[in-house]
Amino acid sequence: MSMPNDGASHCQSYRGEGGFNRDDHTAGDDMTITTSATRTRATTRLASLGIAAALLLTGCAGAAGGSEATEPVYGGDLIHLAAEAQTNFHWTEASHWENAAIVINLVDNLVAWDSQSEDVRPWLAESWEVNDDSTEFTFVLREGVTFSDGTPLDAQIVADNIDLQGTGDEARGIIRSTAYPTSYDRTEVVDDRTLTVYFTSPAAAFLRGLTYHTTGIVGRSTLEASKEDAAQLKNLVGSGPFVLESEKAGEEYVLAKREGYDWAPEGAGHQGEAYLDSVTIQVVPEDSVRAGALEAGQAHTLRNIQPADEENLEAAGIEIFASIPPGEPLGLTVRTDSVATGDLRVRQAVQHGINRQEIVDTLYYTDRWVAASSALQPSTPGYIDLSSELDYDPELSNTLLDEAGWNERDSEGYRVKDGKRLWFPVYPSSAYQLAQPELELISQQLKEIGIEFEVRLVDPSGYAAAIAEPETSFQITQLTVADVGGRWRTKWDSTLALDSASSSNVNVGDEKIDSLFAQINDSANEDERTAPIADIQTQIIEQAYLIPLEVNQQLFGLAESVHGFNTTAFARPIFYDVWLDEE
Amino acid sequence: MNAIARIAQSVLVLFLAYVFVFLILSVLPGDPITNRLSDPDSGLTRQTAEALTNYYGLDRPTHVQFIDTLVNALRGDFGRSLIDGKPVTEKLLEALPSTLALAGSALAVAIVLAFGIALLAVYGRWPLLRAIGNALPSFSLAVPSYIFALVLIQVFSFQLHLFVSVGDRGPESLVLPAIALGIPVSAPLAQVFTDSIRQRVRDPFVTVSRARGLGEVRIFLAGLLKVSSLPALTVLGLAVGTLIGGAVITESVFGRAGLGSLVQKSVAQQDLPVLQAIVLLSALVFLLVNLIVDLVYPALDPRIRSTRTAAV
Repeated sequence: MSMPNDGASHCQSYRGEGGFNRDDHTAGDDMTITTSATRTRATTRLASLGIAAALLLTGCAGAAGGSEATEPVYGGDLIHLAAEAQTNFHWTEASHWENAAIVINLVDNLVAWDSQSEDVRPWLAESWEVNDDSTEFTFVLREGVTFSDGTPLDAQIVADNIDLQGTGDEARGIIRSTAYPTSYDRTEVVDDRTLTVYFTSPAAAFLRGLTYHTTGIVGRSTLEASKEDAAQLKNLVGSGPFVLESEKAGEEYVLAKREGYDWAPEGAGHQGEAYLDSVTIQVVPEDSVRAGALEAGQAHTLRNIQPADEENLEAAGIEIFASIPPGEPLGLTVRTDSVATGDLRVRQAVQHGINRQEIVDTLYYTDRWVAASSALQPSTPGYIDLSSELDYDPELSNTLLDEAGWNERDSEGYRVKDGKRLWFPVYPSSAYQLAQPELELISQQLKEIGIEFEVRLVDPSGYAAAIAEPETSFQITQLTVADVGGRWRTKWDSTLALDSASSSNVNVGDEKIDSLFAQINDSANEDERTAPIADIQTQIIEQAYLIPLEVNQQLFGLAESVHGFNTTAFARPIFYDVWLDEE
Repeated sequence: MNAIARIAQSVLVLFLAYVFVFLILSVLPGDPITNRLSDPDSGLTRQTAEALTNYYGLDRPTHVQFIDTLVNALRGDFGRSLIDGKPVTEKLLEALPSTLALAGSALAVAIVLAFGIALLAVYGRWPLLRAIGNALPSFSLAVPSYIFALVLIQVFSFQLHLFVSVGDRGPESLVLPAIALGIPVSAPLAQVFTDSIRQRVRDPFVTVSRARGLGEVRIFLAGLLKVSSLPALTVLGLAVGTLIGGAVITESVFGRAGLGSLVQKSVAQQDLPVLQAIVLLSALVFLLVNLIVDLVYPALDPRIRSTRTAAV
């Protein structure tokens, strides 16, 4: 248990926010301001309440939000504002931000991720053993756990859960979980509390996959229901710290505290029941209304803050909690199957022709937004800093393009070769709010070196077709991955190209990358994966298969009365440790 | 037109609307599964996408899908959403109360506003007042509806703390959205009403009434109101139809999950079954409202009644 010091406590979170702790916030300025304000408030609170002993009790709760010298308070009803309406609550598919935000507070996982130690912690599984080549995982379950419908958690139900996620059920339309290694074989029940999971080849990332928000453990009625029935929130039976009390589809969801909850992960902010009596999640799609409601005190927390609102909210005393999910940063994924982009020099010209700092400075107004520095997000295990390879060097770009034969210019200043202009259509994806201004800025930057990026608008239903067209060599992408050997591999390993949908595997046909992923697949433990992960990043950047732009973050706004807020490693909000200090 | 012909015509309209939306949506590129493929977060592979497409029956020939959905629709089964698997009727019934409440209160606001503006424009004591009354409808149409909504929220909720901006706390939560939606709806109502009062004021019965010494107020209430409200009533009927499923922006700004936001989501996600059901519902509402308006017409203007009986 850690002692808070100087207003910044060292949080040993059970599911850390992907490494972006307030303690190691690189930009520092708002950190300092909040810290000294925290110190002043802490002193005031201590003086008025005289609770010095509380310092020993708060532990993790102090890291996020306000004064950590006050004792957590039981009770209170939190109002959280969601940015989009939820779509799908099937627990194996609820990965979209707002779907997961609800599901993860209703459903528990076998293990939890600790971003401090970059390791998994016991949760529903009390302990486990892994054999030498990571093909057999034996779990011993915690005792006394029950689902919200009263049924007990035992090895059989967990085994059935794992089996469904490992193999899927096509007849019911349930797909195999992408967080599971593909070599899943079977699960055997050893006794009431023990089970063993078998893989046909090393599955070193299995434990991390079990911390993902789509690999929770559900009760039998949900497990055996049809896909449609299981996708209804009212039919989701989990063992989580909250249960669904009421639902107004697409508008408001009320979660009530689960009485008797006593199986929080090891190292969580506290044990036992949740502090809050209820959490009301309201859907407010309009950004300005959402921010305004938080500022006006009509809500306690929210997700997703527009850059323009960041400063206003902070000035109004709202704390901004940033979470960096692991995976790929926001960037441009390049298809190498065209005459132009098949040439490495053209790709590298684009890589060095984009001024990332200018993008960050123009589109965002606070220091928390930084340029990407690799093919992976900083919070991803195995990330290495390659910013030296990503410098803005238009002279180099011009030289490369001249060498590549694009040395003629047309009347508008764009490069031409064999009568064809160096032109690419790009489509802003509706998934990223700033996609259009960002692409337009990039278009301006690339014009300087003679490349035309034509920004074309398309509605969400036409987007899939637009990016499938052969001329669309550049696509704006971002990826959150549970494990680099999973979806990251699905994207880049061309040996998987035949199995994957055309637009999720880029099929660069790079043998070096393919063999590196095979190495990761065969790695028996995490340490063996570090080197190949680093090499893959280097290869992707040097070959400019991905043009990384900026680090992707999820921003949450917290009112002053909110304490103990945290997110999973994948930036989904956890309400279990949250308590309200509403005087 | 007799009742049977009327009903037959309505059924035909409904059927055509159904076919039309089905054709349009099946011609559009992509479907919910394909759209999810392009999202790397979805984790779909080509195999699983095929399995899902098969499961939802999206790979059957178009005419087979059409016959299937039509037969089911006639039995009252509108299928399930392709996105979250909920029965379509359930989704519609969930969204309906919110939409009805908002539409109803917005209409009430619109009628009151239109009334006031029309009276101002025609009977305003000073030329300035009448000019304002004439200009207001154009102004409220020119300003985008979300501006009204955002300004109302900013002033009455965030600054004055009179209302909560989000969530549904009963009638109180309807005030701001109803005003925000009622303003643009009132514009065409006001214009048409103003126009028809001005026209009807020249009718013989008004001259006669004045000659008999009746005051303007009495003339208005006793006869002018009824006859001049006819065109406005038609516009009102159209407004009701568009409010069902049309209040997308207001619902989005105020965080209300009504038919408007359901339409928007279904269109974006190409959720065919939901869209078809909503189109049917909208068509039905339009037909019903127009029927009611047609029935009310003779009650308001006896001259119409006699003309109709004369025609038959």
